[in-house]
Amino acid sequence: MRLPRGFAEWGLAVGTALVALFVALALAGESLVGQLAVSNVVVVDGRVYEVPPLLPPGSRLTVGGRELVFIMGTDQLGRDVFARVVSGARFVLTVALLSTAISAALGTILGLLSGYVGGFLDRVLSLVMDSMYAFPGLILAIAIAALLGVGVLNISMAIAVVYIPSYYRMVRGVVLSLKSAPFVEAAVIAGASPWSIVTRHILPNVVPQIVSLLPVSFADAIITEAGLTFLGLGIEPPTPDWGFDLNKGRQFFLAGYWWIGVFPGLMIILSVLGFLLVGESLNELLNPRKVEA
Amino acid sequence: MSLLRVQDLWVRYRTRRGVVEALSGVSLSVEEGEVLGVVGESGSGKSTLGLAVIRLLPRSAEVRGSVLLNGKDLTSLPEEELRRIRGREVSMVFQDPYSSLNPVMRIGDHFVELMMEHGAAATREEALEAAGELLERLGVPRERLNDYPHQLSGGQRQRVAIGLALILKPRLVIADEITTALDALVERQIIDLVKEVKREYRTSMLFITHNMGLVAEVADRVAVLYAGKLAELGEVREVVSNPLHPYTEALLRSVPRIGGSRELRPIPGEPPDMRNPPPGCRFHPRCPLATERCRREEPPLVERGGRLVACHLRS
Repeated sequence: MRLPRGFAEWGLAVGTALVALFVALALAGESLVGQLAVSNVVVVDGRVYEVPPLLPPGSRLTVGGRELVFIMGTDQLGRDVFARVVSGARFVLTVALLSTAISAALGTILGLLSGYVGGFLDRVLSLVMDSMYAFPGLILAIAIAALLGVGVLNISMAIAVVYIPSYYRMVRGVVLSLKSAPFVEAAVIAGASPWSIVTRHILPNVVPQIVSLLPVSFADAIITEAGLTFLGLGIEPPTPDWGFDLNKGRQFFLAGYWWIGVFPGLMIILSVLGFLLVGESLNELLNPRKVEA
Repeated sequence: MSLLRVQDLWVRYRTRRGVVEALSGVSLSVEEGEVLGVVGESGSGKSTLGLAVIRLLPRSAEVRGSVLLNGKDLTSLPEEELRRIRGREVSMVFQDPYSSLNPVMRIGDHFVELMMEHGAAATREEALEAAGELLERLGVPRERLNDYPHQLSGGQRQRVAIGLALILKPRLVIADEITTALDALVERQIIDLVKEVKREYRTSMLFITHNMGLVAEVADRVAVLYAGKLAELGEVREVVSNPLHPYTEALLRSVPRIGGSRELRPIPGEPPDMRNPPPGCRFHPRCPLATERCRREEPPLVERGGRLVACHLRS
């Protein structure tokens, strides 16, 4: 193994490490930290102890002969901030994954349809997509999330709608340029059906572009999710979530209880950073020409 | 009955800057097993002719006249039926072998897809077997079936493209400038291959090129196009040895020959602007023999000694 060289390789290394960490947290975090993420009671040997609220980071508490350490302190309700931060990864990453998958799938299908069929359908779809693109993403997501209500699937749908136009526009553009590519015309002349032209000749050539957009839009989805839950949309307390906790922490920040909001905020920054680093450095490593231009 | 009969074909493109007439009433035919060369400069309409036959013109093109393949009019055939004919009865080889193969598909899959689509092979293995056999006859090792297009040289790709055009044993192959993108050595190999295909498969061909020399080698008859109209049409040997139309003569003089003592003479001037073709004979502004009549009157296409020519001076 050699050390990474240059910005792109370091970016990929750091980004991958961050992404791996957050994926691990999303998968196993909740079972590692136990109940303290959602309640302030500890049960030791059948006896129930209550954890006091607003303990500063690094506090130790001895309950029933056992020492508990709160490295990030406790929040206004006595829940362990560290536990909440760790188990918060699951909700946000699930939502980001679902919404990215939905928007990529729908955007690609609509883009293929619009680019290949053209004509009136293309006009109408492009108009709708461009209007959505022109609309501020978060505001659109807020409106849809408010409409759909709480739940993982609902908030994912709200975010997905915002990102469909990005995929749609990119796929449509590539399809338009591929439609007149000689190898596609060759397939037409060879008597290939429209279905096989789209699925076998055009789609595989669009995939690299879709893949390079995925990590970036995944990071975007995390930010949008945090924005929505910051406003209390789409999530039901006491589900641990960074955006939601950031907002609660904001109310206590000026009173000196900084740890309630700062740690969830840091998690948002680091997770977005991780996915962006992976996306950007992969683009640079796999597509050197694109970066130079 | 001719295999292909193009009758009074007109093609107009509507562009933002005006209507371009690419073909103005062209009629010609290709017999079974015959190679018809189509020569002309850029903008003469020769590629439009090829695309019109296989009906691949852009939507902005307006087509009149008929294209009869085996008696069926391709210009009015419904899309479904046309798809069955494309590939199986008529196929095409393109100019640029670097972009006419799908970059993300293996060479073998190109054949598999084509053959399965047309029901020419029941299984993948059967298709690959047939493809491998054909490729070897065309001078491409069978192992290339597992490669992607970018792993092949330009010449090999063009051989693969020819293989794709031949695998379904079509009766007519349209070859549009198939050696233009290749270097001289590979061009020679591909021309030899075309001659061999012609001998072995007896496939009819529409061989489109700007190079009179290549036509002289592979074609049986030749159609000389100028500005969307037929200038001359006849047996290659006769046309080459005794061109009747001044344009044909000029084309022949502009082909370089290694070791030849003959002076190489380019054709003066440029092909006409097809939004506004010159009146009378379309070649008159560049013709050294043009008379007052050529400037006013359009020469009809008349038969003269077994071939057709459109020139006032020869009729």
